[in-house]
Amino acid sequence: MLSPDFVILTAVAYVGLLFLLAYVSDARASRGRAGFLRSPAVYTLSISVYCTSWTFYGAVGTAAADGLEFVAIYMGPTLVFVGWWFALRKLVRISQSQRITSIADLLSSRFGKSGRLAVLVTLIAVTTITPYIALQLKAITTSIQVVSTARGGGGHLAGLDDARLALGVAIGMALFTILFGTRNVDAREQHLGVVAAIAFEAVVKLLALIAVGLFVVFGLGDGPADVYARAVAAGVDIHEQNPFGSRWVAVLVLSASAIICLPRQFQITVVENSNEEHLRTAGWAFPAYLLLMSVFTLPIAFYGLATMPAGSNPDMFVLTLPMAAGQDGLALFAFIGGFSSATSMIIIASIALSIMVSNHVVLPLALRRIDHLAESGEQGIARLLQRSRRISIAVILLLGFLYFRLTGETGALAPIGLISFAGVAQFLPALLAALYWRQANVQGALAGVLIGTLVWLWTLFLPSFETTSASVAALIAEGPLGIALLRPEALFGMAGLDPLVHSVFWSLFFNAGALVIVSLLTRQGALERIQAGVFVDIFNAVPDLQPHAIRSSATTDDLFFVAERVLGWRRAQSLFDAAEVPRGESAVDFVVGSDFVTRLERELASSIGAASAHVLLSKVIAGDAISLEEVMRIADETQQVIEYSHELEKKSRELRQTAQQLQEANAQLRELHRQKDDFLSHVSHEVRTPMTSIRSISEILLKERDLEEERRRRFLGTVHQESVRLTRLLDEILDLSALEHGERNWENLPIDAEPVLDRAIAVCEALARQRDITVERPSRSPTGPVLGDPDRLSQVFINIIANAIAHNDADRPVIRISSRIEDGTGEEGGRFVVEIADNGSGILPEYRQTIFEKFVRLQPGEGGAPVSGLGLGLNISHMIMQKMNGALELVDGPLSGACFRITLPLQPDATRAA
Amino acid sequence: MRPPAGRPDAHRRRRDAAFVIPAFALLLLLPPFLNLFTIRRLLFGIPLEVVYIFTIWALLVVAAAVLSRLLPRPSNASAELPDRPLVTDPR
Repeated sequence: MLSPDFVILTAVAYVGLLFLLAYVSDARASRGRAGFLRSPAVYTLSISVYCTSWTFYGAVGTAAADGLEFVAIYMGPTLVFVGWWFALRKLVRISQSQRITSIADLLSSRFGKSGRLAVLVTLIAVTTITPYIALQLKAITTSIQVVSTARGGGGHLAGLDDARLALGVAIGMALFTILFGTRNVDAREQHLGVVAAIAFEAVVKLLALIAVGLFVVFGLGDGPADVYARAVAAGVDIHEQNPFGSRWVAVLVLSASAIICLPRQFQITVVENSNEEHLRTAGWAFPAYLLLMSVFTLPIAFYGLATMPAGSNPDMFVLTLPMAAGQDGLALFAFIGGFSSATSMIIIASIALSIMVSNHVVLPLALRRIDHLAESGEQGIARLLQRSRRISIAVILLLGFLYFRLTGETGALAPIGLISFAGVAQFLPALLAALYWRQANVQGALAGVLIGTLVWLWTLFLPSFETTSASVAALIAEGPLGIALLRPEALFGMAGLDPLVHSVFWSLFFNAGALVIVSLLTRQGALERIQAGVFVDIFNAVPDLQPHAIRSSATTDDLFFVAERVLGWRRAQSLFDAAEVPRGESAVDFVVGSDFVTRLERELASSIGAASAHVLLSKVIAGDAISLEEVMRIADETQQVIEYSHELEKKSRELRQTAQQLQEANAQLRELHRQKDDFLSHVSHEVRTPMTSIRSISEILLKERDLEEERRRRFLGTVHQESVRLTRLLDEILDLSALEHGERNWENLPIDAEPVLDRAIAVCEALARQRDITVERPSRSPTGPVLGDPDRLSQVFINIIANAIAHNDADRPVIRISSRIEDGTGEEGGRFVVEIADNGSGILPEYRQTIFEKFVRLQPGEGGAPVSGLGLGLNISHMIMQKMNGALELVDGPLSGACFRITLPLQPDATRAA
Repeated sequence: MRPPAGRPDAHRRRRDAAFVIPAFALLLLLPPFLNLFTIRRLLFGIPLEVVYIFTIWALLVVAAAVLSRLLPRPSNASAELPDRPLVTDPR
């Protein structure tokens, strides 16, 4: 039997324990013994601030109503953490290098340190999270009621109503948060005391839920199968009622975005992260934590549905099941578990929101009003921040309490968890663009976040008051001013969808659409471009840049003055000393490096946010010859170095290509040189043979005067023959050279090739008859209208036919000459084709490749005719055909021997005429 | 300067795995596939879809645990080399 007094006192004692834990942790940390507190285990546990009382109690309620949908709320974060190597690691790396203090700061810093964006994101976060805090207060008061007054226990604390209870909780949390959450202004100096308390609470809520789960499954029931069987026996449907559909996907998307975009998650996962490597552990341990948190949810829900009286609140099964079984101790433990999930959320959310409010709303206003920093004294800005943070925490919790007071009894709070998720999901497109899309700019981000939030307000937040407000209900049914297209839950006629899916779709659609389109239509500022480079290329950054000197009239004293106002004298001093920047008299001629200004700005940013730090330093440096933008531009050198090295890479590739081309050209030259040598030696050989015989014969004729007339005539005949051969050789060489160098004016005239062929055959007729060779003309074309030189063409025909005659070694030698016109196909025009085939032994395969080269003479096949000729004929013919745009090829012919095909393109006009 | 042969390749493969595992798990947990298991059947007395989802979840945790040991660490010089080399090997 638990009395309300006892329950409330336990809660108070628990909070006292938290205070003690936080105090001891902070004390240890300040003595430099924070080793364990900075361990990956504590980091992972603190991330479980994701599991609020909404999930602690509400998951069972969701499971009772909608089956497995609650799993999606855990599955999104699970997938994001398993994929930590991509998004989370980049996020943490950027935040550490840029000293990011909140999600508003991250977006503002990326989009050109925009103050407007930071304010917008802060306002949205406060609007979205305040109801969420109210939800926690409600969970606490409801659970206290359930666990105590249900038994009707009396006591002097029992007189407390809901409101006073909630107020008490809110005040207690405010005290705790103010005490431990605002100790130092520098958000990067982690709140170790708070984190320790949160990690402790994570263990408590996990153990509590597992204890209840084990009790239900193995104490009350007899294993999971038995629990399901009982539920079936009690008429509960244990299977999914509907197939998984768009709502499952929407919740998955929302929860995945919430684990990054919720201010408290960003605070714990990114800002409080002391070591990027901790993600390595959290990447699997946090999903494991979530798995353990949810493994008993379904059995508890079904056992509750099966055994509890109808109408009992499934959200409270975690408490009511142990109580119904008389296990008051376990119920109290479960209550503490729920209490700790609520308090941890309230603490971290209010810290995160207060940092955002003070850095992005209060400080810019203050900076605008106080022009004279001198008035604020040492650490003046820091003290201003601390005060504004404390006030913000109190105000945020007060707002949460008021929201709870106004709506607590109406049931409007119940769905607020997912509504909040959908609200912060509006940061997601801008966040992803910040990490991965260089061209995204501040106008796009502002437009996207703004329009997405407006759509969210209209389609999801407003309808959550449907049950409490008649005018909202009317609006939903009829649309504003009766415009049905603008009905909040059926925007543009998209009716019949689940309201959550409907809202998530439209809000993210407009959000991402506006972000992309506006970014593409507007220009990026210089600072934005630099920040975009820093963010997107964080893993490609080049360290150790040459620092640039700044010709600024701002003295180091001025800079120190600003630093002191924010960081305090001691930190400012150590910062300046570490960089060896002198001050005072000795610093008159000292030139401040851009790297130091950048570092100073970053240090300031870790206290007051990027936008404010930028404004503050601009005040000191502004009006100089060099603006802060310019300083940042110098930092942009990182980007330029990267680009330059890419350029170098390209250049060296081009060089390699050129070298290769040179090598190829060289090889070609050497080959040509060799050919020339070959040619010369061939020619000398060819000339030498007839010369030798002419010389020796003329010597005989000179010496022997009394030679018989008949022998003398024969000798003279030989001399004549040989000199004819020499002349022919020289003619051919001249011809070849003329063809090769194009010295002769070559003119292709329209001619008819058919008579040319006839004439060539007639010329060879005698030669053929001499050798008893039959010349066949099986087919002929009526005309051959082509462009060419008739004499040269005739030379080619004669050369080929003479070759066929000379090399034909068959018993009954035959030469078959056919001509025809082939019609053009597709792009090619028509052709005039002549084929000259013989039935000799043909050309050996090894010569087929080289037959058209110079001085290639066919070695006789077995039993072939002896070789004559010079080996230039085919080469010359080949070249002539090329000059006439035709071709000379060796093809497989109709007879056993070789077959040469001569083709010429038909003359275009003649083709048409034909 | 060049890391020993084989290592960058192994790193790249592990990094690819770090992407493929959550992506593939997502595919297994999205409707067309997921609804293969909502067939109102029991396995060990538990609805099949429940067994399926929690099994995938547990496997995902195990895979992530194994992977987090294998992924390159920042102390490892080659792990932090940018994906695109800044200066190419002049070969």
